[in-house]
Amino acid sequence: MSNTTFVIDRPSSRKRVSFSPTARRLCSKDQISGAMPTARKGDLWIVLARSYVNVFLKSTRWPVQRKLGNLLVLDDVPCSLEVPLSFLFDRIAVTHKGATLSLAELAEVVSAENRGGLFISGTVNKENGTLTLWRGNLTPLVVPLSAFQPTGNGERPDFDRFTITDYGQTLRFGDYEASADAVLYEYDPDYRRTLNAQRRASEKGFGPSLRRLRMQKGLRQDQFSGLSAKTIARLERGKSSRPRGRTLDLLAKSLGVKPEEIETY
Amino acid sequence: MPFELPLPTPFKEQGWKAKIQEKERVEEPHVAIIFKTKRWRFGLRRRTWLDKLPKPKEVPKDVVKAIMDGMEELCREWDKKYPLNPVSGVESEEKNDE
Repeated sequence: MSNTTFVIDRPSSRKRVSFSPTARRLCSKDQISGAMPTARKGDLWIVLARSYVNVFLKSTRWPVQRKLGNLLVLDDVPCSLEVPLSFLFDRIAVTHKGATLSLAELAEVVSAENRGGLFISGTVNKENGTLTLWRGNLTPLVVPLSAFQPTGNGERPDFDRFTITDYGQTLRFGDYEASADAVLYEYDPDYRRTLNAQRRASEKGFGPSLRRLRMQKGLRQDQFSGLSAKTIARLERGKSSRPRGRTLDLLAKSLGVKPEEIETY
Repeated sequence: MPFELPLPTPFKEQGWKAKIQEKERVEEPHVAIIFKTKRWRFGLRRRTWLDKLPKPKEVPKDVVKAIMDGMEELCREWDKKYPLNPVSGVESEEKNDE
């Protein structure tokens, strides 16, 4: 059973956005308190109007028995409410300051499979030199502003003009754009591990194994006794058929492993 | 400013984009193809897809054709942004494959 997105908005709101088919639009205190008992772990509550945040607290029986999922508030919420709300929700993102995705794009991002790799909101803090980002799965990421270096042709980020576009795939600082992918790859070890695992899985075969093993052994392609660098390059790229016999023996000898072990790397 | 390759009108209107941005993963020069929440990387050196996921076959053939047609310009733009990792700057050993 998939998770539900609850969108809390005023009945008169003109900003009607189509969230995922499983989304439920709640426009009154009664609707909100009625939906709370149905909420499950992983559900997402998107609050467009801050006046409704108190409904969660007023409708709660304390002590809290189970949490309601995650909360995304796209409006100003007093700091004093954040602690009590943290008893009700696993994750809370309050994104009224800084840059936030348009509602139409936000709707797609929060229901996207890869929402953990897409940014929905962020705040630049020039005083401490950081950028705080929120992902579509409501996990935060803090990145130093020094991550955004000028390009070779002199393009520099303008941190006063920060926006998020391309369905959370692009951080824009004026005319300077950074891909979410690059930022996550550099600053989120879990993201990097996942991508590298996918890459390794896709790089099965003799060629990639030979290349990994050669790199591990610190050998150049021209350091294989009895085999030319061109041959090694073609094997690594899979442009030659899988080696056998004498070629395989020569490879193994230079690499210091048994012939049958090469492909295990 | 990112370099954005012009794509055929219908695809542009649907939201397809092909970009070289100011901060990219630079381990292999590439152009990023963006459509809604998905992103594909097409390598400028080997002229192949760099990632298995999302599936490259999801990218329309006309978009791929536009990229192949604009390859020279893409390589030039990459080199301008990333002069320390130019498209032509393959590690010397890879020249053995030519």
